[in-house]
Amino acid sequence: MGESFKRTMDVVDGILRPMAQVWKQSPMPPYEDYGHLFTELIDTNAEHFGDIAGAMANKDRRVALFEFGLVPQLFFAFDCAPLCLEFYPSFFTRTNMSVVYEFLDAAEEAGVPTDVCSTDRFILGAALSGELPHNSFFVTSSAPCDGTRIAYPILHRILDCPILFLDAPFRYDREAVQYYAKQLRDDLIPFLEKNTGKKFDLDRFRQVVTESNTAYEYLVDTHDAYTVMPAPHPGILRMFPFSSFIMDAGHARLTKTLRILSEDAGRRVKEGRTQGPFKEKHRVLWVHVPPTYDMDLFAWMEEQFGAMVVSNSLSSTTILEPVDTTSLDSMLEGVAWQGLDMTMSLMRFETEKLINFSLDAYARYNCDCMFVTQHVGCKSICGASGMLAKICRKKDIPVLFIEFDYNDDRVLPPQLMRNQIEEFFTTVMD
Amino acid sequence: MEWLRYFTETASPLKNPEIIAWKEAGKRIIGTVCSNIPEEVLHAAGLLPVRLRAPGLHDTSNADSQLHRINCSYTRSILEELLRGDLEFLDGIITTNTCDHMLRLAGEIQDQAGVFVHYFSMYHTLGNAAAEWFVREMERLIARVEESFGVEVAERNLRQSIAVYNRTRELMAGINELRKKDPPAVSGAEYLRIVLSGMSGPKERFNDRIEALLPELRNRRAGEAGLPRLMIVGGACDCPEFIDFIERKGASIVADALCFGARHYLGTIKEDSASPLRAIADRYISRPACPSIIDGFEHSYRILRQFIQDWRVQGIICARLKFCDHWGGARKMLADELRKEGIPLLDLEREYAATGSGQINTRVQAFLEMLRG
Repeated sequence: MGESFKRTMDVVDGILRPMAQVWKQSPMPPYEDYGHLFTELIDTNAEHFGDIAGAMANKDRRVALFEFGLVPQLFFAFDCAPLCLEFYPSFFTRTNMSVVYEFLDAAEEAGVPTDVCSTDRFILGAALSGELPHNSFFVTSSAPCDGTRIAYPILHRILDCPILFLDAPFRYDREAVQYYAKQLRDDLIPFLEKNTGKKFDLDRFRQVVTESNTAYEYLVDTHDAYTVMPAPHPGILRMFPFSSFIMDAGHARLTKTLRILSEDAGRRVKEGRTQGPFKEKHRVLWVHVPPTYDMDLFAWMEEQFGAMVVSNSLSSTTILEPVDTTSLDSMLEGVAWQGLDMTMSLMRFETEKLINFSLDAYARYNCDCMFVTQHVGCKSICGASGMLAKICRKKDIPVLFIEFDYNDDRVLPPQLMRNQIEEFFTTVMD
Repeated sequence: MEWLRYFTETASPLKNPEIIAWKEAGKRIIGTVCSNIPEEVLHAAGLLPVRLRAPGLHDTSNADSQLHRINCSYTRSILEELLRGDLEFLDGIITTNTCDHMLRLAGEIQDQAGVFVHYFSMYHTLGNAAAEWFVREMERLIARVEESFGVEVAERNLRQSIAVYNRTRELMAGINELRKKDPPAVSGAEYLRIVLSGMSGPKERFNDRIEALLPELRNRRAGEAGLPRLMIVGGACDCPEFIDFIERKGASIVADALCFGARHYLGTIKEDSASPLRAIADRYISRPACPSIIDGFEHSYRILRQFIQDWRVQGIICARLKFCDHWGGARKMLADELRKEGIPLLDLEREYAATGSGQINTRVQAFLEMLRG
């Protein structure tokens, strides 16, 4: 067993913080004009993980390990340091793949089948290797997928720390949101009181939710700006705002970052200065998750084919309104809805609803083609491929299905993925 | 074996003589895709619920182009039957979201079925919240069924159906009791045929058959005494030939925790409850949980341990479907627990239609040799 969270902080101190400095002092081509945005996002990410390390060493605080299906406002209301474990693999896929291989191997050696999603295998491997932060507890919902539903019971058995399971409804109406909100009130708040030793403070919760509402408005404004052609920011930047929201909603550092992103996008739109370093010729909707291990892919697509990835499932929500802060129930309902209908939680949607959501995004962002991840561990997105292909044929939408593992470059190495993309743009889209 | 003929005939094929007779009488049949769907409610509406299976189907090429090769072969097989028109006798299908495979199958059925389709949204935790959710989902199902088929599901109908299903489960418990003997009164393969028969025709007629059968079985001996006593666990394992294949190697399968088995038949519903729907929900939540229930393992393992003890189980076979994450995870937790208790487990990853293969043959043989010492 390694020292808890050491690999993570090694990356934060050895890669993230220096990288933020590089972007600040001598931004890298061809994105010099966006250097301040990269600096801001990387800094916020480093602060996020630094806060978790701080909470591990603070007897008055706890680390809240949580899963898609939840957003962190309640954790911040109890002064916890939240870590959304679903985003944890991508932290390493971007910075140190050998850690990813090591954790995947650890899970497989312990008997977790190789056809389970690599995100869940990574998390289990991290737990088995002692990397997950201590002084922590788990809260997980039953969404979005099968991998989640098996990883967390196993995790609970590996680690001796408290856990709360919440039932995420697989229906999409207000009754379902209220059902989930009731569990936040009746189960999650008492669980947090017990595990933090703090009483729930409604005013503090309202303060956190209000802060997250401000951030949310910036988030929505930023994504509105991406409807403009050409899009005001490079595709790589599209990966981060929503994931940052899931990690930090309710914390002032997130609000600041999203404000900077939103103001920058807004300014470029207003000044008619949205053209990036490469002429935008194609606008791609990436359904599900792009590879997290090949961060140069977006720049390559923009340079080679003028193809801009304008949206993906990690940067999506069905919700366009802030949380109503009138009462505890209204806030819990809003937070429950954000947990249920944002980013990967969308995978709990019925196929038709999932497809309609994708088609709406396709139209909204003026896309001219679609990429669909066939993540080798995800039975949900793979199972939707037939209906998606059918509807794309019917609507004459050029679509590329790419079978890969978004956390593991051994399944489809970057060059082979690029070959498929090149073929698509030079044949279908030419 | 004359006594088994009715059960064999109704267990395979899906459109069996009972189904044909029911249709000829002008009555309606509803297919269900998962043991989580409360058949009692459909029965109370005068509909015949039939658990969908695909006996003998090996080629799923049509379905493979709609779902994906990493979706389980049970869901692909059901879709294949639908696409081939083999389910034309159904008046409706109830789908659900137990797992990602089921969720995507639900989408395909909704798109392709051309008959009444209702999506029943499953809970994934145990406890009171889940029971309340389950009640609401049953209310929604009743409303859709009433509206679509012009029927009424009154409380008295529900109570009558509960009584019928309780009778079925009590009778099946009676048969299971006879599997405690050495040798058991029925083999594992025979038992599975009875199980499937009970999901494939009118419950009242099935009950009558079992009632008549039970006294005949009391003194029956299926096979030799002293064979290794096995329990089979997993999800969609509904192939008597597969069970027979294992037993022919020299073992008795005496207990199960399968969707086509204990999860369907275990536990009765409180008949004097003020709310019949809540009583139904309580039974579903207290039975051995599907591993899709995120906090259900400890509960299920307690029941399993009791099976192991009462049926004197010496080894367990986990016959899980390839690509089933839930059973993949449950198998790991189960193996960890059983290791502590010194009970051997054989992990047999299989395809839905598999009856046996060289690899399975070798592994079963080795497992049995190990059990025999």
